[in-house]
Amino acid sequence: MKMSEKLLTDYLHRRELEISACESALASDDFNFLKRTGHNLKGNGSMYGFPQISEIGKTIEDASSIMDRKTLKEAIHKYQILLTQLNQKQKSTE
Amino acid sequence: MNMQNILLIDDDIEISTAVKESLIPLGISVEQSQNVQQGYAKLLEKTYSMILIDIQLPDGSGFDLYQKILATEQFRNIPVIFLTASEDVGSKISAFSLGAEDYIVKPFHLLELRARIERRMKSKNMGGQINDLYSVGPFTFDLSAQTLKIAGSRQTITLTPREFKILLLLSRSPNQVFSRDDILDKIWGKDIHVTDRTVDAHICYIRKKLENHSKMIRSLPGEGYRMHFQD
Repeated sequence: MKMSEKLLTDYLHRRELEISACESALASDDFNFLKRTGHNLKGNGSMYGFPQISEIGKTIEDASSIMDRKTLKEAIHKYQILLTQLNQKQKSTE
Repeated sequence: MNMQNILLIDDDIEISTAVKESLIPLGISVEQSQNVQQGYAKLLEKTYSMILIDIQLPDGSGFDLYQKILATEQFRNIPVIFLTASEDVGSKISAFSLGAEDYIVKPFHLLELRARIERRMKSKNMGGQINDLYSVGPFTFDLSAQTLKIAGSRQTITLTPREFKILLLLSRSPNQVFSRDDILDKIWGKDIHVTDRTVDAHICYIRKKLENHSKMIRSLPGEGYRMHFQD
């Protein structure tokens, strides 16, 4: 089942907005927020055809559980780069 | 065509957006609640054809909500499918032991979810007005409503989907001995791993509901169970 391009574009746009929320959460040690966000990304990324987002979600969820700031920082950075790439690719298909 | 409606209890808006889009072609609408409290409140407001529940909700466990649903007569026959990001076998066993219709691990393919929902909806004849009765011995099963009447009693007995299937299985072949493994395979399926105790627990619940007729389900130590209609 192929999702509409608009649905995919909107999904990726909402993910971009999430990045700054994740950075703020990390700065304030809000591990609950990060764990929940990671958990949701793990569940929804692949559904939208982006398994890489699910993988990063799992890393964020696991690292939040043990309050591993270093891994979280790296994962959020990786997430940001990935989103930039996915958004560029998505724009080129529109 | 009657519009079917599903209540999705999951705090992830992305899941509900995708599920909504995938079910529109089937004429199924989806409403979302984000937590246990909201979900239960929605159930009180409106009638739903099916409920999808995430196990990990922000204010509690989807299992706790399901137990609340089962304890409420007007909701207990609504089919429930659990959604979870956990592949933990224990969670699956808990879901089926409680009587859930199905269980799907996130991330799932939308086509898979759609097929499972369609199957459950067809099997329940939901939205239809078909009065599908099956009588055997003193029992009359309403296959649509999944309720039971016993000859000589005016009372309608409400069973959970699993209890209904087990009682129907035993009743359709009176005097045939069904081992626990037979019952597990026929009711839960071969690919689901639940323990013998799950069968025993369900039989115990059914007997309680049958009250004076509970002895019709005979236990055969080391063998299993059989239905015995006549003394």
